[in-house]
Amino acid sequence: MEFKTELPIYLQVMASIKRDIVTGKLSPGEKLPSVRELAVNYTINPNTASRVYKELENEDACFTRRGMGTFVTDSIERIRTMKEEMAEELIGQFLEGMAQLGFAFEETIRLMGSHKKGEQQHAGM
Amino acid sequence: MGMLMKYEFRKTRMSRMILLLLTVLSEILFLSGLFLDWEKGMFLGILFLTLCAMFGLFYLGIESILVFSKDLNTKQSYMLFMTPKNSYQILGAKALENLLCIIAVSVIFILIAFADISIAAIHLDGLTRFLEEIKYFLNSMFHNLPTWQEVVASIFASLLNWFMTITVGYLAVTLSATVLAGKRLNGLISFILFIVILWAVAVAMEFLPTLPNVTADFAMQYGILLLFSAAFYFISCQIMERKLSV
Amino acid sequence: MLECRDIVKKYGSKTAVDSISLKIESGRIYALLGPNGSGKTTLMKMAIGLVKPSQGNFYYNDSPIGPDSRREIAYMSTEPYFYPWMNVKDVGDYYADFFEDFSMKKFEKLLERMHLEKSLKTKSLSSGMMAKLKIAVTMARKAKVYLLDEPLNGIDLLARDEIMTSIIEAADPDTAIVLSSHLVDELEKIIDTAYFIKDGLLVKTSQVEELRITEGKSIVDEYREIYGQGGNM
Repeated sequence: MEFKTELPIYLQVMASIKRDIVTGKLSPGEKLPSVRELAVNYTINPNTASRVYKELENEDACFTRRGMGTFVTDSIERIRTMKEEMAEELIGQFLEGMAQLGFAFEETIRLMGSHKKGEQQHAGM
Repeated sequence: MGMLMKYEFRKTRMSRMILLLLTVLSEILFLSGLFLDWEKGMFLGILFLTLCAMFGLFYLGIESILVFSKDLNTKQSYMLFMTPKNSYQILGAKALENLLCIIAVSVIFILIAFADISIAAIHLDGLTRFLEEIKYFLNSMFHNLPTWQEVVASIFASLLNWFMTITVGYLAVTLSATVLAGKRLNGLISFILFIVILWAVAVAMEFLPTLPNVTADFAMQYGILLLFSAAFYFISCQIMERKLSV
Repeated sequence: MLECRDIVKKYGSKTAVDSISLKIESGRIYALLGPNGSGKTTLMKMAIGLVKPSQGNFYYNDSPIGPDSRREIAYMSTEPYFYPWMNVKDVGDYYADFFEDFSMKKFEKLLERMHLEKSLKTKSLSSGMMAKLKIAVTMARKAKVYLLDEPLNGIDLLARDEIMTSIIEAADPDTAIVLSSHLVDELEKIIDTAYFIKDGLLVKTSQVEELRITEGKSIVDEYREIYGQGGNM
């Protein structure tokens, strides 16, 4: 995985794992790799890897059983809210970007509508 | 230290194999000369065997000093100095391995000489009488001819002397790699030091009294030579412990 | 666990390391960063005792380092150093003979992963294969401190991943790892702390993830600030 070097790496790895959880690549209750395996898989510092799990636990995205390892949360409810939170975050970022370009909210919505139409026409051709 | 010695042995294995090969070839030359009544071959065999013994022992010592120099002055040095071994063990392994090797090679050549003379004596009827005559002649010329024990004892003394020379070589290499490192004429200065130290030892040996008892005299010589060797070894190790950067 | 206090190394009139004090603690991965010739290698060699300092010293668990500390400190130099007669197997046997913490099983596993045949002569190895062999034999020790001088020097991209993996695998709470490099971005993701060395001086210490969290800065940014754009990246 390619990292942005000026952003905290633990946040980038967390985002990647959360994406895998909400898209179903990781199933609810599935066992996650050990801290060391995680470090090796992402080629990151093991202390950073252990922080990733700690922070994910704080967000209830996963839980740790003593001596068993770390698991994806088995609460479907939590996964759903996680998905919403992530969508919320993406939309926020997008709207902020559009606002910076000088588009008001309504105008943005309109642009998105015509963008979608364009895409459908494209697909129809 | 056994491990260190094992690798010291491995480093000089090639030249020892060559020496062994040359010795075997010379011996074959001698024996075929002897049994085929080919005088020239026999004498050449004797000549080559003598040369093998002399140059062999000489080269074993020189090579030990060369290997030590390489072990201090090239990247190869990390192999020794990254291990949990101190300078006393590292140089000790080299010195001991070399001493044992010198002694072993000498014993082998003395045994070859005895064997060859015995074979020749059996094969050539005249030889025994010839040797007797030489002995008789020498006895009439000199009053106290050395016994064979004395001959072996003096050979051993020269071996120890050679070993002592090698330890002076270690010291010169150590100085060159430490206090003289980076200085101008480093190699020349350490070589001059090597000669000066050897000369000083020779002068000191001159002052030794000759003991009336032959055994005691040899024992004293051995003792002094080993003492000098130990001193040069100890000084080299001290310098390495304090000053050596590889 | 490993530290130096006001350590100095002079070569004639040139000062290679100028009064550096630093600490290496277990459970962390460190980088010594700086252009070639800044003093990283000399500093590392003093930590293992290959080079004697002109002043000051290195201490391992509070006693001056010496041959005995090399039982627990593993060192890997940039340059190849094996005896010319050795093949890959001989190198492993040598380490097994001298280091109690060396595991032949681990060594064989690493060789297999790096596609190195035991019968290969060290003399015939390409620089990339040599780098892999050095890492394999060093990381097959279970040392308390690993000092790796330029482990990524002259290595292609695929070999880099293999080397990084072996380094990360060795990291554990009882172990400290020190890497030196002039290729900063390579180490960005795997180090905790960066020591920046310039002209023999320790000019800056950065906690890498902290730096990203609090200032949004990477160590590549730091490196540029310290050594200027002309620095040897």
